Amino acid sequence: MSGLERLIPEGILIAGAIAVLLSGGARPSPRAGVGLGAAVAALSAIAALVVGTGEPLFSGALVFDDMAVTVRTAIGALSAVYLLWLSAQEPGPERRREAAVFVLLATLGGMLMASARELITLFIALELGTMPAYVLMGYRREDSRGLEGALKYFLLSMTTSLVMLYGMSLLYAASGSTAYDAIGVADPGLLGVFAVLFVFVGLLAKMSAAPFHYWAPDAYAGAPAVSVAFVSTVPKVAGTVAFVRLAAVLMPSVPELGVVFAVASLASIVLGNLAAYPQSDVRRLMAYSGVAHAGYMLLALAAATPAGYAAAVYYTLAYAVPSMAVMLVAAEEGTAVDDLAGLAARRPRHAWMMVAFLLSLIGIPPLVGFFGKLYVFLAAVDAGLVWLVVVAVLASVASAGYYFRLVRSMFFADAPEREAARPGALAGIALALCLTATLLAGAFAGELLGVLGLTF
Amino acid sequence: MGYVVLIPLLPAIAFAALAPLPRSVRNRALGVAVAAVATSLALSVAAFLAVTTEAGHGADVAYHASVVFAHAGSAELGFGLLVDPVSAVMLLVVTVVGLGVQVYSLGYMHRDERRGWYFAVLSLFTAAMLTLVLADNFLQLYLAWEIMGLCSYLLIGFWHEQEAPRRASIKAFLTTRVGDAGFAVGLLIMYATTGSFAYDTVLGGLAWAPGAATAVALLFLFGAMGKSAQFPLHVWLPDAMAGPTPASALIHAATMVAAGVYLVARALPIFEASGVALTVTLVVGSVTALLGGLLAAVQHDIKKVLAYSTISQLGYMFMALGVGGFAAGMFHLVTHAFFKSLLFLGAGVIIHAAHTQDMREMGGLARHLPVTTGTFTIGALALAGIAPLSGFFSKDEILTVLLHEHQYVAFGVAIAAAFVTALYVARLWFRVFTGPVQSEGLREGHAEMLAPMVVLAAITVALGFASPAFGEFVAHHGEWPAPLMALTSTGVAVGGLLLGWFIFGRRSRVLNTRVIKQRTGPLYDVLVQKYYLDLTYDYFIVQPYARLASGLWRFDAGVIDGVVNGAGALWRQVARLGALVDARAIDGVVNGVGTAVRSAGDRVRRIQVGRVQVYQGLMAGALLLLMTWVIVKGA
Repeated sequence: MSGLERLIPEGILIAGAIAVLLSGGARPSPRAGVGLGAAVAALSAIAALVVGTGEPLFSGALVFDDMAVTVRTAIGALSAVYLLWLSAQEPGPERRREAAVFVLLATLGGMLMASARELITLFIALELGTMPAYVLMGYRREDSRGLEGALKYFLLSMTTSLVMLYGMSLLYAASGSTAYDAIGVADPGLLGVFAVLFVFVGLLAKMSAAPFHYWAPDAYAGAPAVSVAFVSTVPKVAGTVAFVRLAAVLMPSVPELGVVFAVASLASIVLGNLAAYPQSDVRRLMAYSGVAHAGYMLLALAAATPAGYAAAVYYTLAYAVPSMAVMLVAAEEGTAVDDLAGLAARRPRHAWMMVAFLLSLIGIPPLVGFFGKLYVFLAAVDAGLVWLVVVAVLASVASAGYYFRLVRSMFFADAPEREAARPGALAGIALALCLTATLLAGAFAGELLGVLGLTF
Repeated sequence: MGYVVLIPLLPAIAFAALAPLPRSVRNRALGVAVAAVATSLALSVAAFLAVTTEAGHGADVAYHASVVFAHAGSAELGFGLLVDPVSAVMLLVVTVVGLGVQVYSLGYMHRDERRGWYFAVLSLFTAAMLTLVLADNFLQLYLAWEIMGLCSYLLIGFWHEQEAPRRASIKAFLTTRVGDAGFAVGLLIMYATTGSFAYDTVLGGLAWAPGAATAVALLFLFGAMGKSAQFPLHVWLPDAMAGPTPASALIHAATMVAAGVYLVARALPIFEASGVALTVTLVVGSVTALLGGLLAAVQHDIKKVLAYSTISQLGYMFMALGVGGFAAGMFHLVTHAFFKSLLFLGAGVIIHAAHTQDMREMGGLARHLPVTTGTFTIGALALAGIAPLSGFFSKDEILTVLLHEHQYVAFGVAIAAAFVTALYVARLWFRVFTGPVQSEGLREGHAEMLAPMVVLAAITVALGFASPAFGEFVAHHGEWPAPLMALTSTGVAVGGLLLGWFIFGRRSRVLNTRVIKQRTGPLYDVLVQKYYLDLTYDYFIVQPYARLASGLWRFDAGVIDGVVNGAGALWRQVARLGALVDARAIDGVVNGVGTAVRSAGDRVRRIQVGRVQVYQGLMAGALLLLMTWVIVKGA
């Protein structure tokens, strides 16, 4: 074997996706298909962990450093948890076997993205991760809102991809290479700076950072909550790694990037945390919350230090888990904040899990979100961004305001008479897994951060 | 002294063991929590004894161990255990009151069907408080501080089926968040200036620039004000009384609310480097001591009287710290922890017996609850500052230190607050224990409830005599109260009690609320409305925040169209809103295909209106702006 065994996780995902797609013929139950998908994703995560680090493949286009292994495992695991949850929904969303296939393909794209250290590879991986997302956003054909959301997502996502691609081609023009090691030229000139800006504007838009976030609230609000839970979280983890790897290469040659990230971070944190407050739709609320969290991630990047890069990846992981879990619970109940009314009475266990997830998103110790924020803030303070950090701390306090609107709704409002959602026990297990990660990942923050901080 | 690690670890293990159990099993495993805190108490005693022997050898720190759990940039994030005189004393306070409250809760909560969870959270709280006390760096302190806040939130909202606890828990969480934000920002500024969180580096030997010291100290103070319910961030504590009474005794009287005082006491060198921050601490403490006392005098709910009393007494501690009176502030913290938790536990028995928290519906309990009456009276007299109970000594120390530092205004405020304290103590005592009996079936508490109260009462009686020893122990300086000062403060306290008896105690005249209201005029309204602070906050902070947020969102989501299309777009917005309302209204009547078609039409029109183009335009605009900036900057 010439190192190709390091692509076993990807192989598992492709084979698994095909198997899930074909399982429709042999076994009519879509549940089993989705369950198979969950097993495939879990297997790919384990494979990514077992295969471990190693030499780069394809002359450095794909690397398998510690960060890649950590994030590939995390992405596989998150997808597995998501599919586990999806398999237990009864009655489940329509065509969820097909959804599972697309989730697996998006996971494949995400895994490649976490390893990519070459522009073309990055772009292909990015598109491979995004294309299934278009489908997931609109795969319920009779739902015209979903179709509209998907269409919007598609159009805006395409635009950002094209801006990025344009930047990449300019980068190639400036440096004569697409490999990361070669594109960070010492004196890039105006064209080089523009090229870098284009690439990062595209990435900023993908991460839904202000002022390139406009698509997210609208697109999410138009899509099924079930899909938003996946699309708004898992691809972002991979996106952050791509961001970090490129930034580590390009920030030394384009110092303006630090300012761009700082400004975008400030705008995202302030706007996201405030605009989330009046939302009555959980998807929109979480979209703005995602804008704010992209801001925290950028704050770490603006520090432009190894600690900052590690903190950015850790933060995205710390955000993705509870955020996905919140969307999953919301998806079981409905899409409006008011749909959560009386959840504490209907399903107390879920309500309390929600509280834990929301506390983590606010950043309360000892939950994982606290450590995420802590490392981001420390890295930024080390880099001298004290005032930005002060704003970020204050904004994260204000964020308690809108996250607690959900708590208030769950515990206060009298529930309208309605049937409690009755998903299978596996859905509860999926959420419990998220809860465990939220509760305990903080304890391993040190080690994880050490691993993430080794390479970019 | 490696066993020190077990002190916070055992309650944490108790929590971890209880939390995942099914409810029915958990409810029968309460002994785990009690045993854990009892063992912690035994180990704390051992640690305390070790420190006393060390102190004889001139060394302050008896034990210090730490592990680094993460490197973040240049920061070493450590978890440490530091046993010095202050933390040793605090260990005893937390474990004694903690054990007392848990034993008491065995009786108080024995019929509650979620008592297992209650004990689990109490254990987690105890673990967090012990971690806070043992911390050797401010980051660890902050971590434990926030976990305590979480436990406080959970316990205030313990009976979340009811409206009041739910509201109170959220209010407490959000209000203390405001203070915590100050603390967090202070921590980061401290890190930015010193590059460290460790006590060793930050407090010892480091020359603080006055500006940085002032910033950090004031931000820490702000955090402490939130946690210790100091004016004007005190509004959450009275509402927090909606939680179970023993939890209030532990968290909202003895330990957690004192954490703010502990923080300021620990960071006192930074406050002293600043100077200004000390003055601010003194002012905050003075204002709170007096205003809290006045509010306690008009409450009818027995727990709220005690809550405002706690606020006022914490103000006293801040006053002491504000003039650098480390030993005085800490000693009052310790004595207050014991007598106030005693009062809360007594109030729990009273509430159980009388089936109400309203003092207007109580009376004549002295004959039916002898043990409670006895112990409660000891606690009440200690609170009022009557010799020779512990509260007398600690209050005296604060008065002495204020006078010694020539803070005459603060001294006057403290005397006035002492007078008000005695007044509301008398009001409470006479209303509850004397007069006509208003309830039936009055029963004394269970033995497991009374035993902790007796112990706490004994401590309250005895602790005062340790006053000089305590000062010697924590600050190398201690003395007995000066006779003149003792006479003055006792005179004030007795005066307050007598006035209280005159108004509320004499059988011949029954003064009801209306009469008091008539005689005191608008002052009474201001007090009953709690200085209108809740309304003020709602009007000046909560509502503007909501307005700003929705304004920003509207800008983000709606007004942008206006930028592109001018007034026409606004009109379309209105029209679309109408269409939307229309569609929603009709939704209820018609359903199925029709809705889908109409909704689809609405949506597609929206795209045609130009949302997507607008978004793309905005993105391009931002990109252009960026490019211009690069060009301008380069030129």
